[in-house]
Amino acid sequence: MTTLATKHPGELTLRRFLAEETLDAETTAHLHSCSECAARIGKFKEEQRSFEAEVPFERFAAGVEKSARVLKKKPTGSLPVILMALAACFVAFFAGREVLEEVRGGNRIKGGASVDFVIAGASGQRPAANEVEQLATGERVRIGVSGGKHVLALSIDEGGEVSTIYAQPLSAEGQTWLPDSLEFTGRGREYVLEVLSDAPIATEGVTAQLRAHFKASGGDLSKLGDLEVPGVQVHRTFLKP
Amino acid sequence: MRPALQVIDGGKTTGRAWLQSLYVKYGSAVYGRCRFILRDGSLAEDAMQDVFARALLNEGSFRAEASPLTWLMKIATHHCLNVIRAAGAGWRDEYAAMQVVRGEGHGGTQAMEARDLVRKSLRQFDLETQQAVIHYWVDELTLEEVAVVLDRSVPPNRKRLRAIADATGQTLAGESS
Repeated sequence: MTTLATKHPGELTLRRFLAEETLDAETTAHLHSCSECAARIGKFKEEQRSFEAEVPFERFAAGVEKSARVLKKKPTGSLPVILMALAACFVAFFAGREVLEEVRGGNRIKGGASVDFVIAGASGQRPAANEVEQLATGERVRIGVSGGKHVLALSIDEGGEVSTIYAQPLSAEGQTWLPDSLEFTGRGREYVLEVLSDAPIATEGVTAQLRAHFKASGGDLSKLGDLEVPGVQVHRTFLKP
Repeated sequence: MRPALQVIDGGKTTGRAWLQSLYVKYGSAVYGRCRFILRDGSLAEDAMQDVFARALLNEGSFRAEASPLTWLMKIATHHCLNVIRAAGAGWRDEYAAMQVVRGEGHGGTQAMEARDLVRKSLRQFDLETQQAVIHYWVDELTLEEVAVVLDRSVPPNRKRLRAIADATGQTLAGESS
């Protein structure tokens, strides 16, 4: 919990406690009874008050929204590989649920689960029905799922860089189109893996497996094979324009 | 002909209310991290905005994080270290008042000195080592927790951190000096 010569939780854990994140029972019990930790948490509260005085919320929000607009337009090497496009952009490329229902390129899985990939761009939209799909400039991908309670979507590029796209519960019955369309930045191939499961799956574990498979395959995205994860998995490889 | 502009269910739920909850819960922690690394209030505010913008753009996966704060601090650390590298700036040695306050917590002066020493030595090391150092000595994560945050196994992280510890006369938890 801490690297210092003490049994007290470390700084990040204290801050997580202050932010009301879930901690293990032992740590939580300690933090409810330790005056030293309480004093330290008190300093973090004071930091927050100073922060709010120094950076008012309106300035903060305006700056964040401006930064988000810039990041969307000009992804750099340090940005996530995948740009999550806003719904507002999405509407310009996808013609609606009915069309998506027609064009989806799906995988039907035992138990009624399914994963559908749809590609759309200036020239219209089409199902991503093939194992490997070439994307044209400006084309985006949207993913629809059904039949699972949780979805985890990751991607890995030719450099072995893994990105988490979605990790969320599925509350709706039937088909759920995951938020936003995806635009892949950079060049080369992008391997997208969807895992549908009845319970949440730790992203870190799947990420580690994906990296291990990538290494074992010699960096060949076509030879990654299935991972050892509960639930069903579907993948597509996209050739970026 | 089908309608050309029809939104499908599942769009962003992001709004100012969500942003405000992030501001209240995590604002000072992220801003503090950016100031700690960049040593400049204006640069730190810009960097902080970039970090929260990434949360905004990755709302779905961000909401699913077991620890949103850990995610934010990881992104903030990586981003700020890259800002320094991009600017070709050296690592500054002075302590800001914020770090004095920081040092008054557990570990007191001793912890503050450890952070100071390792920070002064950071410029000698690669980006990933710098990240590991900050998560270990500033966030006070264990070796195992640092490995999880950086998506790496424990041994290489231990090796990296031992190099820093050796250079600064520190010890790693569970190891004798």
